[in-house]
Amino acid sequence: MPVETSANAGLLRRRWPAVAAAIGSAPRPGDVREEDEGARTLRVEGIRLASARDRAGEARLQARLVPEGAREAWVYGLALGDLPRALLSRARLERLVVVVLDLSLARASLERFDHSDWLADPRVSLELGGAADEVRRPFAAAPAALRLARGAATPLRDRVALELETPFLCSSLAELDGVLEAARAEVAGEGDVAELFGAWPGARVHLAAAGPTLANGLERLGARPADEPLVAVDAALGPLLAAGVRPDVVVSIESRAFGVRPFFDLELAPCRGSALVLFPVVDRGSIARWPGRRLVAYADHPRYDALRRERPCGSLWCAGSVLHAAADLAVRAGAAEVVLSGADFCFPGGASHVAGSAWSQPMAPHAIPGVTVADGHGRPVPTWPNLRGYLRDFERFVARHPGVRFWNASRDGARIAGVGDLGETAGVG
Amino acid sequence: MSAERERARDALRRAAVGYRLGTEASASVALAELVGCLERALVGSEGLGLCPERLASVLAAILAAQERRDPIEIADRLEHELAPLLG
Repeated sequence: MPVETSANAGLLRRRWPAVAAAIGSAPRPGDVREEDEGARTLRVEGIRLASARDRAGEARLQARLVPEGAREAWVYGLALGDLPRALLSRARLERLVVVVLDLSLARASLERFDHSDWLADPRVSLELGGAADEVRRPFAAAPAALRLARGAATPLRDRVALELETPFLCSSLAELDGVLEAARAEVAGEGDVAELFGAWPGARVHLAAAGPTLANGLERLGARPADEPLVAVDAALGPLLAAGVRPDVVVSIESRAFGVRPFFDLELAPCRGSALVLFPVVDRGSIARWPGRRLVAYADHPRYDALRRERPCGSLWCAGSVLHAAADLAVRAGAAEVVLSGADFCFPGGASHVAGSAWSQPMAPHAIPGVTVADGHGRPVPTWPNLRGYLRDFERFVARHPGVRFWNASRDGARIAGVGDLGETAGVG
Repeated sequence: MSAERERARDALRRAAVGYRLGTEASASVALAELVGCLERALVGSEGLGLCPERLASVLAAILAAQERRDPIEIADRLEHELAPLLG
């Protein structure tokens, strides 16, 4: 047994026997190769774990995500142990939690590289990443370990990736400030989403998103009882109307005309009795033919504060997806149950949207390697990183509302933690 | 130092840092900016003193690594193979 393996194994068994057992029983990755272009590293399943040129320099860079004076920190992903080493070199650090995201990857690394120096540090705690774990701060991560994570820790991996990307995603929203300014005059003449808050106390509310599985629910939505309102995202409107299903409320948050116009370029007469809930940034030209009420909602974000002071309106939670705002509307309206149709967060059947939606397209040419989510059957389904981020944020939303029962009408889309399968409810479906 | 060369070096640095930190979205944007700078340099009269064949070889390897989402290899090639070509 190599020195590296015996030293690592001895420390793991002594300090964290359960973790040692889990890693020891994990299958070895099929393709593991060593590389050295100045620094010895591993390539696992085609992905380089750490720099082959300057591992220590790379780790110092990654460690900068943790403030210098931090007394505790989290590291997501084992890689080759350089990131824990870099952080442990800080005398002020009192506690370091290293979270293993993939057991097979950890096994490959521990069997080939000596991790005993940092594993022996009394400040270190080694944990297995769990699906329900939230991201702890301050943290840094090993990107290749995020890329290769599979199994139980993938939801945690998704949350870590989302946190890493959030500053960049928020910076791209700054362009909305000018649009908001221009929307002040429009907002003054429109209604307030707060009219709907509390409007459906104790109701079962149906929520139609625009994922491919919406197609399977059109008949059920058309036959729903009159006291079960339907809230639809804008991209679902076309397929719903084509199936003779009129939503009670449509929600739109899209600011770009080219993005939203196709959703409303329809025969809209059936929507005369429906309400359109819209964020101020929605292009007004695209919705000019909307025959029903318009109700303005603000996103729960400081950039709306000036507008809020000038013209108070209700707020809806939204972390980038119109589905978020629609779900929050259902909850604020008083829903006791929310039934999700088309809330796929992935590409079941290889399509981006439900057939008949303006932007529906085959997604096979646009698949991103390694980016999947588990569907309700436990199968990996291709998705995009932004959809995965929306999914994890939606799961947090569901967890914040334990008094509301959420159901998913289809198992073919992403499995959503905290959401039941519709088929589980007796007499429904 | 030409403005285009400086833009290319800035985009390279942002891309490499982004890939090593796990901020793939911003890194990808920076990589696209870098490729744009290099394309403009190669078709323009300035050229940045780049050897087209060597540059094409390094870029092909980087784009192949991007295709399989291999962030550390992308960063290594950017900093240790492409950056020296930019001087």
